[in-house]
Order: sequence, then C-alpha cells, then structure tokens
Amino acid sequence: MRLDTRLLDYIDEMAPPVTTEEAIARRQVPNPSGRSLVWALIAFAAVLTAAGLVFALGGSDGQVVDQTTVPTPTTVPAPSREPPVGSGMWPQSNLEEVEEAQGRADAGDPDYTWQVDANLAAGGDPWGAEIFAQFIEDELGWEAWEAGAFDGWLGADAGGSEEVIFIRCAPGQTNPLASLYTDAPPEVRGCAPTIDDLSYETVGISVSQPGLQGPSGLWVVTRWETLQPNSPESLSELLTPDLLAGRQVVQVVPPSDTELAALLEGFLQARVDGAGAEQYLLYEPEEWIFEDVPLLYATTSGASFERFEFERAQGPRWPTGRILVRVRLFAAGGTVVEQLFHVVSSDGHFGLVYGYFDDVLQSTEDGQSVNLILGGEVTFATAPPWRRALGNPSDASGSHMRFQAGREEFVVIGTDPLPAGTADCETSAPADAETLADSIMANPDFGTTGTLPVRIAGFDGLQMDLEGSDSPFSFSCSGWFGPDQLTRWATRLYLIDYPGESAQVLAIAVISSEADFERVIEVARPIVESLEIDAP
Amino acid sequence: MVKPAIPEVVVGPGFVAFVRDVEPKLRRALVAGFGADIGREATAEALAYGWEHWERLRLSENPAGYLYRVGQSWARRRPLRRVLFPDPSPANEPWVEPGLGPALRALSLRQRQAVVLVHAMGLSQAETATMLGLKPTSVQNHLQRGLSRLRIALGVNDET
Repeated sequence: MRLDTRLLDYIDEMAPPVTTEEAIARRQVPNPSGRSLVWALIAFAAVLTAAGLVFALGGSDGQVVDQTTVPTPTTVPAPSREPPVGSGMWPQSNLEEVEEAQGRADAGDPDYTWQVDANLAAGGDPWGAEIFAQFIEDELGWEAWEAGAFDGWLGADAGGSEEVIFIRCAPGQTNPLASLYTDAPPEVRGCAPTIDDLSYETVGISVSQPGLQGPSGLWVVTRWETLQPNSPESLSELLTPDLLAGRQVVQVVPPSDTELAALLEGFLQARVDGAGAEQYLLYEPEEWIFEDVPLLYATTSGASFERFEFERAQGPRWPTGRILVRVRLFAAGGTVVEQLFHVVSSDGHFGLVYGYFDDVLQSTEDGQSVNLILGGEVTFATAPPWRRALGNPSDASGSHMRFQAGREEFVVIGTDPLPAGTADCETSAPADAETLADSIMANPDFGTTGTLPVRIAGFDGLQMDLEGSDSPFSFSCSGWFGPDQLTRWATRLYLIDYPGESAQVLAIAVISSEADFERVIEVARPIVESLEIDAP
Repeated sequence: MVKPAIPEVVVGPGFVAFVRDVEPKLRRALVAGFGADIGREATAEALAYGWEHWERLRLSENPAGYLYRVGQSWARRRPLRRVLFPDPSPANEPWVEPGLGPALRALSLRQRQAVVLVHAMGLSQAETATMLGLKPTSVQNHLQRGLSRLRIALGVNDET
C-alpha cells in the first residue's frame, strides 16, 4: 500500500471528519431553557423554509432572529470561574439592542457614543479602545492592566485578527523583575503579575460591529477567554514570540549582567583556546533555521583568535528574556570576526543561539559578510541588499547557499548539482561542468543561449543563460532552489570544474524574473567576483 | 433524536460547501500537527470560528489557511497530551499500517504537516506553504526530512 494512502487511512481512522453541525454546535450558548442559539435558528429557518420564504441571514435589519426564541447570550465576568470562556455580546446582548443603542449613539447620547471607535474601525491599534477598557473594568473587575506594550502577544496566531491580549497588573505594585528588564517599556516594568512572581492573568478579548459597520458603528465584545499556561515547546517559540500568542503571559527570568558576562566569557575564551565552545550553544537539530557557527575557532584564513570583547545589543526582550549580544574576536594579523547571538533560557539554563535571523548579517570578517561552502574551501562576500535566504543548509560545510535581494532575486552557489528530474540522494552528479551544461541544453523544458567561456575565481568555466518554469538542476537532496512564486524565470549560470577533491562542479545561479534579468545580473556581480576557492 | 442538517439559510451562503471542501485538508493538517484528539477538536473550533466570521472569511484570499491558523492557535492553548498518535486497532482497522502511529510521533510537528499535506493530501508545496503560513523552501526542507525519517521508520525505501 502506498505511503500516502496509509497516512490518510490512519488519520481518518483516528480523527473522523467534522461535520458542519458539529462545528457550529461548539458555539451553542447554554441557557436555562436548555435551547441554543443555533438550534433556535435552525428551527426558525425551518419555519421560514416551510412557508416558502427566502431570507438572507445577517442583514442589518435584525428581522431574521426571533428574539422570543433566542436565549440571551451570557458573559462570564469573573476570571476565576470555569470555564474561562465567555461568549455572546456585551454590553448589548443581541442585535436588536445594538441597533437601538446605535440610534442613541447617532443622536449623541454619551451613554453609547463611547462604543464608537473610528480608529478601531480603520484597523488602528486596538489596545486603547474604550470597548476593551470598559469590559475589563466593568466585567472582569480588573483595576490595572496592560496591553500592546510587549512583542508577540497579538497577531495572526491569536485566533483571529480581532482578538486582543491583555494582562492583569497587581495594583500599586511593580514588576519584581523590573531591574532585570531594563529595556522593557515602563508600562511592563511597572506591571506586577497577579498569579505569582512570573505569571499574569491573561485574557484574549474579541470585538466586532454586529450592526452598522465603519467609523460610526458600535463595537461590542463578542468573546473573551482566559488564556492558559503552556510552556514553549521549542527554541523556535522562544525566539519567535508570535508563536506564543494565545497563551498565558509568563515572564522569564533573564540573566543578570554577571550571569551574562560569565556565559559569554566562557564561550569566547573557549573559542580562543580552540576547544569546548560547543557546550555553550543551544541548537534544535530538527529546525532548519538553526545553524552551526562559522569561524568558531579561526578566521577564514585559519588564523586563531587571541582576544575577544562583547556587548549587549538588545534586550532582554519582555517577557521571553531573550537578549541579543554582539561578540568580536580578534585574530593574529588584525582580522576581526563579529557575530550576533541570542541568549535565551532553555530548560533552566542559559545558552547561546546562532542562526535565527532573517535579514541581518550574522557573521562578518573585517566588515564583510562571511559565507563558507565545503567547510571554508569556497568563500565569497555578500552585502546588502543581498541577505541569506531562509532555508539555507544548517551546516557550514554544506554544499550550497542561497541569497536573495528581493522576492524575485536569488543567487545560489553550490557544488555538484543534479540535472533536472534527478533530484534525489541516489543520483550521481555530472562529472564536470560541460556534462552538466550539455544535459541542461538537451532538456526541452529550457530555452538556453548555449555556453560561453568565462573565468570565475581564477578558473576557466562556462556561462549560459536559460529560461524556463522548472529547475534546471538541484543540489543533492535539497530539491528546487529557486523562487517558488515565479512561474517563469531567467537564470545566468556559471559552471566551473572544481579544482579540489571535495567536489566536481561548482555552480553559481543568478535567478530573477525575465523582465528584471539584466538588472539583477549587475546587482549580483560583486558576489560572483568575490568568489575565492582554496581547495587542498 | 436525530438533529436535522443545518440549512444553508442559517449557516450562510456557501458555508456548507466550504466545509465540505476544506474540512479534510484542515483536519488532516491539524491532526498531523497536534495529534488525533486535539487536532480534530481544533478543526471543529476553527470551522466554528469560520461560521461566526463567514461573511468576512469568504472574501479572504486564503480562508483555509486562515482557519488553519485559528485551529493551530486553539490547539497550542491546550495542555499537551501524552499520546498524540495512538496505535491503530488491528482488529477493527486491519488496513491501517500499524507502525504509522509511532512513526508519526517520531517526526517534528512541521515534518508531519508537510508530509501529510503534500504526500497524503496531494497539495503542492506552494499550497502547503500558503496553508501553513510557511515559506515554500521551508516546506520543502521539512518534507524531505520527514519523508526520509518516515520511510526509515516504516522500512520502505522506494517512492511508495
């Protein structure tokens, strides 16, 4: 049986399909009569259907919902009550009330105008909206709270764009970790947690405009939930706080200045000593975004380090305690290696993470970005606008690297690519550049210019331009290398016979849309010209 | 008592058809990520959210992807359960590969999702990336590593 069939069988057996009815029933609101909004609507709709009437639900006239059969939605105000989820409307409890309130707000009645918020309707920052403040004070009974003053707790992962996260602050107290979170906003430093020294009562509140929509429409609370604690499962979550959205806010105790200095001095002294630095690094093998640290014990020319310095570049970020540090290692001959690391707390101890950056230079040597292939045999320099593309291989001894300057501008440099259609781990790469070029030219899926002689890094090679909608080659076990969002693209390919024993062919591909090709070739030229090969 | 099927007039035009089309992808993706129990519950929760916000959701560019993120957010709030992927019952379901539960447990969350969506659901890597909110290159990496580990765990070495 095929693997795909086995997977579907397994999943469908363990988790049978969810019906529309089952899903909607999750929004049933308990009430004394035991009936629900959903089934009341169903019954009402059935009556309408029987009468031959056709209604469109959700109009602004409010005539579809029969208020005599619809229970009043309830809101659970006390955070300590179970279940910690409230649904229904607040402060109005149904559409009819909202429309009546809308009329009074339109007439300028201050008892209702506070529910109008043009900024919220325009998609502005929600935290200061009066609808949230009133709900938190009147219904949740919180005296002090904060929101929006910290990263990562609002976003697409929060369960919907309208859900806004608030934390409760103990009145009259300050955050016991304020002295450690020197970079945190004053609002956070002044907000003491209410559960224990680290944990905050956290609530997610959703609002909407059920009646009139737009700058004049009334806002009501439609749902709120007390968020539960759930520890980060991975380093990725610690480093990407958006992934933590929807959980109770728990602040992490960051390292003190003394602890931070001890960690960094141990790590950097080991690099000077030439051994033992790995023990200070945190790494998740399954996460492609983590990388091995290049130039761990020496510069690209092999010079060992003689001394070091470090500085705190940013943080600690609240509430994850993540600190960004910049380190410099000075080698004999004056070469300076500069790198960025995160310091995070994982499983109760502090460690360094390298590689979790998208758009910053992580390692430079004398100010140039350092890029290594084959353990440093191949080096080349990149500078903005080029940055390493996400998905680079995690090992500096890897076979290829990707860079991008925009959505449709890529440079890929690597060794021993496989011809199109043979991208698996079992296929042997072409033995030389000419064989690879011939296989590409023989492929009817590509339009090519033929080859021209070229010199790259002091070695003779081949240059060819091609166009197509598929990959002309891929690197071993790594599949397609190009911009997935392009349906057709143009590529300038440079191929040379690799002068050492570590590989057979070195390939450089400059990829772009067909319309932008000549410009991108020029932008990529400094990378190609910086290439150096030091093959044993 | 058998509850009647919910008529279209109640759930909104197109919602029933939307659920019919999206539910398998959504459920299998969430089950792959968070296990059978939480994944299925997350699917129901996401669809319920979809019903609540149908008028806006149906106009969005990627409603399935949006609901996936709703379900994912919901699932992440749940306490972790020990058995994400129970062993199938060979007596009741003899056609189900008995080693799949342990094999899936051995994959990372993203590897499981990539394998299921691409190889079981037939989505392209670009579609999978859109649904999971990842970059296509990321999906590709997770897919390759996940497949490799799955094949090793199941003792298959071909394209089956």
